[in-house]
Amino acid sequence: MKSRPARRRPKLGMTWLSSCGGCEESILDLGPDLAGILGQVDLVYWPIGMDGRMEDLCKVPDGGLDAVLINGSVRTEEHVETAGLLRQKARIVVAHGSCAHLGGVYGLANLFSREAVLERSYGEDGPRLPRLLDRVKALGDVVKVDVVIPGCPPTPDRVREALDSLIRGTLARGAVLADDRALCRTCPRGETRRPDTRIRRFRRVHEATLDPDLCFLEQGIVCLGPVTRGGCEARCVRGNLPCRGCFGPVGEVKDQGGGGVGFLAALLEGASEEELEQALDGLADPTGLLYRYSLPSSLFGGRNEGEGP
Amino acid sequence: MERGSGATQSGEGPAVFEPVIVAFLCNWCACEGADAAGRARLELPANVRPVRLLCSGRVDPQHVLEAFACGADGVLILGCRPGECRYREGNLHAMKRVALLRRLLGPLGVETERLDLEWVAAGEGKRYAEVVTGMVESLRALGPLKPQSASTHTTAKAPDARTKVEL
Ligand code: SF4
Ligand code: SF4
Repeated sequence: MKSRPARRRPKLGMTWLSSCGGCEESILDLGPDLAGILGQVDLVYWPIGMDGRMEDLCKVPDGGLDAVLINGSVRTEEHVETAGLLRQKARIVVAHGSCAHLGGVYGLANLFSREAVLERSYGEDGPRLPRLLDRVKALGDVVKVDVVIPGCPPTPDRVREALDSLIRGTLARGAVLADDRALCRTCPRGETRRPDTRIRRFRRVHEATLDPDLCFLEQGIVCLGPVTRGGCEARCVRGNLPCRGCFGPVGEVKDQGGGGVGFLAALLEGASEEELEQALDGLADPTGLLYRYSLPSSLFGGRNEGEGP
Repeated sequence: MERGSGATQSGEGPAVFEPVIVAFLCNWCACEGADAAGRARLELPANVRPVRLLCSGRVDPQHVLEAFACGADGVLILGCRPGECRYREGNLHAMKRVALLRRLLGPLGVETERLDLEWVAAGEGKRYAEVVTGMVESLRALGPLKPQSASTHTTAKAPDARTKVEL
């Protein structure tokens, strides 16, 4: 076999928008592999890890970066500008983590108006911030996204997959680096889920003594596995916690909340309104539960003027 | 869909808000009911955008969310009376979904009255007319829904990146 010429080291940028830092941690979670990966890329821009000034980024020619990983939600006008500038500089834009992918946990702020959020957090004299947008957005709402690494935060395997394929030159546009099937299909408890189970009243995790081998739904506890993409190695379930949906809706589901209502309603026991309301009373904050990571990319975003749940 | 929110009818007197209602009608009961209302020449409001389905149990919660996202001020699901579903339990499924959907929609600013499930048997033209008229009236009292634009996840909405970034 003829030896191929050594590949050029791909130029990479990484940054955060409205982010908790967990996605940046997911880079460090690569552990010892990180050193090897960093040796094979040319890391041009990474504000949290090295000197990363906007003016240096501006000097990069358009399309001069092979890829950029962006994590966090789009909350302020500055985020919109940063995302736009990176889109211009990078050939491939990767939405890194649930916030960039779907709007993320911060997207629940969309249950409130921008003014209510500022007032609640800072009262009268808040810090001087870049102007907040009316609502939290996903990265795909402001720039074209080419690749998605789902997860809150993504697992090391998913991040490694993205960086490895970037290095090999096989990172393809349109890819969602996760399983296309529901989590239940690969969940270690999948076999224990029965089709005829009915729930008389939902319970919360702290209200139950959890059986570590039995499907959560069988125990009356909401698990979003049926409407969520797999590919997370069922880490939460293995840790004896139900899935909260961070990998986003599985391919055939457009809206995680709507999909969640669909399968949970089918599990409800009861034939009268009273019985159903009773069963649902055990379900705390269904909006926050079913849209935990995806409210900004839901079909109906809400009126954004309420006082919240 | 034609946007209904905010539409008003100007005639003599004050403008009246004309809500848009997306109504999912079961083919076997409510559609017949609506026909019966028409045959009896009952007065029916023009606010309803009917969608015929084989069963009220066929209404996916995502259909309801999409209707609201597209500008409906109210969504009405009409099915057969309990025990009369042609597919045995479709109407019961609809009832379960509506109960949960209302709880999902409340914090999103959608009042309970904007999503309704009613039973209308074939031939119950009068009941059909009463149900739709009643909903139009309660939506008039509530006013338009006015959703914030939901996510579009568009692929080419990049802002002008040449905007000077001052930091
Ligand atoms: S996706 Fe999760 S880990 Fe990543 S920035 Fe958002 S909240 Fe943090
Ligand atoms: S519902 Fe949850 S616990 Fe049950 S099989 Fe699916 S992912 Fe596993």
